[in-house]
Amino acid sequence: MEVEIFTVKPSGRLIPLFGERIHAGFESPATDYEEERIDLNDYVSSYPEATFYARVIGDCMVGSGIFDGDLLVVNRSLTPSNGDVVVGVLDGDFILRVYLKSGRDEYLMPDNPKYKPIKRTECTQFQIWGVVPHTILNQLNRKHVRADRLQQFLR
Amino acid sequence: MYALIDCNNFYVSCERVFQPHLQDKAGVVLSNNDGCAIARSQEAKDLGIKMGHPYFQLKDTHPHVWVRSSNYALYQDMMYRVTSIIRNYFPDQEIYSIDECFCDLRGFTVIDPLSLAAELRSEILNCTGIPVCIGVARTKTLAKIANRIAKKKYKDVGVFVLQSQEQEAKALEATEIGDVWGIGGRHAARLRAMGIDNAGKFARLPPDWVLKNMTIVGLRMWRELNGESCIPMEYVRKAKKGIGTSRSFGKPESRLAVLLEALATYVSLASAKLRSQNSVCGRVYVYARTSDFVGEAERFACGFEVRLITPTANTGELIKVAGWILKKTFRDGYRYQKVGVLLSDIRPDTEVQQSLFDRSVKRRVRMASAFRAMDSINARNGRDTVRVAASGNEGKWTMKQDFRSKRYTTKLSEIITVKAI
Repeated sequence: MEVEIFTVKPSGRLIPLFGERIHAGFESPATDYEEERIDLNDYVSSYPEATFYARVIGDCMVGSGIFDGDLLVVNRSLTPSNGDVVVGVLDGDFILRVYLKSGRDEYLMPDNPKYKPIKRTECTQFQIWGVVPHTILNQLNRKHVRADRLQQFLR
Repeated sequence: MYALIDCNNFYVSCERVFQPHLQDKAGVVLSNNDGCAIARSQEAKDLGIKMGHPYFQLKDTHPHVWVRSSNYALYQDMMYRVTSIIRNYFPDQEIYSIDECFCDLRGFTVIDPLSLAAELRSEILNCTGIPVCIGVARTKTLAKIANRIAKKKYKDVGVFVLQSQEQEAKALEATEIGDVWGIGGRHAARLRAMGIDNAGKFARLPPDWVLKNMTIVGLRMWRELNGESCIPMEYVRKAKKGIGTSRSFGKPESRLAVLLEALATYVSLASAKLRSQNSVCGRVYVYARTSDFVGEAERFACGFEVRLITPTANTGELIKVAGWILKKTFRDGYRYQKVGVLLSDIRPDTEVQQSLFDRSVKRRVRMASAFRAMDSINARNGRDTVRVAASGNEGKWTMKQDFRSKRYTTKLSEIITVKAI
């Protein structure tokens, strides 16, 4: 690219230049009926200011269809109620469990029999960081597992 | 009534939302280049760590204090969330800085400002994890004072309202003159010497004296303290008169080629900013300087400004011009700490007139669409996906950010991980 640097001050008179073309012809008849395209953001989060995303590590929630590597939508504005999937904080770590209240006791439950429930006690204090209203599963990542499983039915 | 909403230790709070293990532990966020502490947790303040405390000292004297480099992408997004929640309550909002905003409540019939403010505070804390303090009073300056009281005396509640004149008078007596919004160090020292050591005494001074000795600005503060609102809300940021980009280097640099690369990167950033607001600039100022903390003989600063014949926002042209200035002004043998560019004489890109001497009109139109394409690619695929070759690709001069946390809210590859184990 060429750039010229002038050291002398040019005369002040400048000539305007019209660079825009003028459009002629009919406007599309559909412009009056234009609508917003579907946006999944509206579906997954009713409260964008309180919505965050997180990634799952581990398999303690497979019963709820949440697998290792899945994407979570986390809404901090929701108050957890019985059966909600929640992101909790225990000993400074984020954990994924089901919120369960039984009588006066509060639990963070795994949805996989391999793991043990966590009960809120004097020495086990957890906080609820947010509620998970939706999860996003990458079906492409799971196609080999699925193909292997379905192969069995053909034999 | 006006409200001032202010985030507590904002940068530290942002870090803690996504790193819960930092909760309740002393920690600081460092300035660009990891130079010194610019935000401190309450625990760090209690340890006597000061604002501006240099990191190289801190790591020896307080090895257990956690540190983070500043993560502005995260802080900016968290502030968007906070201000957007506030707007749901009070639509008349002035964003005053990255961690505070004023709201004008005069359009409302607020029956109970205290409980409304308390509700807003808990909504912000709940939705974003950021603790705030809210001060409410008749004027912006009084709201600042109310906010300070909320922060100092009612930290757990986080809200304070100056509802009656008696309350105002008491609050003014308890506010040190140097802590009044808008009273600078020089005026504060002078007033203190006269025995005017708190805001209450200042508010009882005769207005003529204030006008004579502290100009109309001082009088405006005096009126505000006396309950007459005269600092209007600024809803729209004033159009920037200049766009500047400069950084300090991680370590001093004496090679011209490296300085030119850094400069090209800053010009790219600044010109993209110009294009994003559909403006062009008519003047380019470039400067370079050594650190202030070296011996007299090693200290050096240089730079000058040129006027462009045709205003532009074209990265290529601006890099050429900026590079030309740097080459002219650069002196060998110094260890430069900082280089920067300031684009000024900013005007809308629709008001550009071509110069008679300008022989590259066609090319300019073509380049403009090329840079528009570059901006949209970078907006979609992340900053620096496409950039001009002049900015190099080694980044020897890049900022030191050894302790930056992830960009949890703006990059899908950097979101928090949650253990399901």
